[in-house]
Amino acid sequence: AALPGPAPSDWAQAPLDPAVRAVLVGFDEHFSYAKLCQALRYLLRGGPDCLLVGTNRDHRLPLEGGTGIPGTGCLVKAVETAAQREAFIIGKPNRYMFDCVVSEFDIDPARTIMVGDRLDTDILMGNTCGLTTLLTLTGVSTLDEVKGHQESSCPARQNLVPDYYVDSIADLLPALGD
Amino acid sequence: AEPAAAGGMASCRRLSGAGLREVLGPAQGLLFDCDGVLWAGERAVPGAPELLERLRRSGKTAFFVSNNSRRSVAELERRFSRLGFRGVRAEHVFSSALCSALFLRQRLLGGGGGGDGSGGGRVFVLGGEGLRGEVRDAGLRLAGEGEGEGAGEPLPGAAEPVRAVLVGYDDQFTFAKLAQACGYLRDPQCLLVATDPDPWHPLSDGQRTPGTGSLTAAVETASGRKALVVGKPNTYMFDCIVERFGVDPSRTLMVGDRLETDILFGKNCGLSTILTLTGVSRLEEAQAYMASDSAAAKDLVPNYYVDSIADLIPGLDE
Repeated sequence: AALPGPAPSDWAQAPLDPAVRAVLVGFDEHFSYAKLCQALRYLLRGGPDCLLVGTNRDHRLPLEGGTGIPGTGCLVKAVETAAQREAFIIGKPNRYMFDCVVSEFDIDPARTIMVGDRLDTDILMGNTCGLTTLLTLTGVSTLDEVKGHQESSCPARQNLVPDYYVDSIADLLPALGD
Repeated sequence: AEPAAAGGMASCRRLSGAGLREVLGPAQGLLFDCDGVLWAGERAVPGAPELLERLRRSGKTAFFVSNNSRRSVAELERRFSRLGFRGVRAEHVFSSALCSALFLRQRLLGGGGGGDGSGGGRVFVLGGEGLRGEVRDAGLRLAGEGEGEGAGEPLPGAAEPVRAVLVGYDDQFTFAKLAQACGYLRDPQCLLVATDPDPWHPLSDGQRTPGTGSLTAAVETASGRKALVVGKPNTYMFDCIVERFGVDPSRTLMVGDRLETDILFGKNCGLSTILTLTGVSRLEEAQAYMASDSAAAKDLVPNYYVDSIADLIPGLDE
């Protein structure tokens, strides 16, 4: 709905949809202060009865050529800071998405492999959920980072270490029968 | 009256009667936060203009320290006047907008203030005209002004590099500006500065509007950098006051309405603190901090509290 007037004091007068019971923060290239205002209003109105959910915490979306743009995590942080409360995060490394898979399919974690390129999302989720984890080197994380975590004395960082790695997922082909 | 901030925890005592005279008598200066202390929205706190008048007649100096980075000092001066406050001197008003500009001038121009704007680099400002004006007045050049930026084509002869991103209260904040800020911050030489840490500000009807702190959190997350925060509770704004006027912390009181910024600021600067209840923080919150086991929480407890700053008037000479 269009906001009345040019300033936050005007926006705070716009009627709120009485049916709203959750604020969901996802990737939004049209994110604005006005939207942040409205999100805050719904969260204050509903208190604990209004959910605050974020799709993921990635701070950066890599683009071709090594550039990137701000990720959803930045927008989630803005809303969390204004509302002074923590969002429930759906995406990796949290386990909710894995739980979704398990609830629809018969998965045995001991016989399931998680394949990913990011240690702090893919591998961490895999390890947390009891899967075998496989890092592929065609994406974000490097072997040097793995080494750094392996050599760290911090137990949390050990959880970022994959069981195996390949240069690319194409390297898996020879292991599969004809 | 209890000793000033150093040493033991403050005990949040109501300031009244004889205590008022004991505390106000020796004070040479008072630092006031503005929103929620002097005024709420468009209305002066009843008795606040009279208090300032009485302070002046008692020979005590009033300084104003505001985290609100929307307004330039000139705008704040007009606001004081419009709300019925007389005789407030511009040089006594320290907004986070002004102090951020002074901070950037120091860091980018070496404090001399390059009046011709040469060297030092440009500043990318996320904020309104009040903040942008203070940065310009400090002799700095803003990214995106007078150089055809946004037109898509860089002008011949590379534009001066952006040496700082300044995050302030920006009600026109967008994803595009966030992305632009991140682009500048890829240069490790580019500073990331925030005017204040406030997560939200109260509106007159009890609602809240997001503060600079929420926008800074987005920029920090995107860039992987921590911002240098100019405003309270950090002490830079007090350094600005001391540099201009040389105040003695042991003879100066801090009066504010927000425990996490004003009262902690007072503690950090070695000032005795007075919480006024006409703004954001509730007495119960101060008492909860007092009862907490955490050492950090103790620093948020004010020495004294009053219902409103008008309650200070009886502590001054007739």
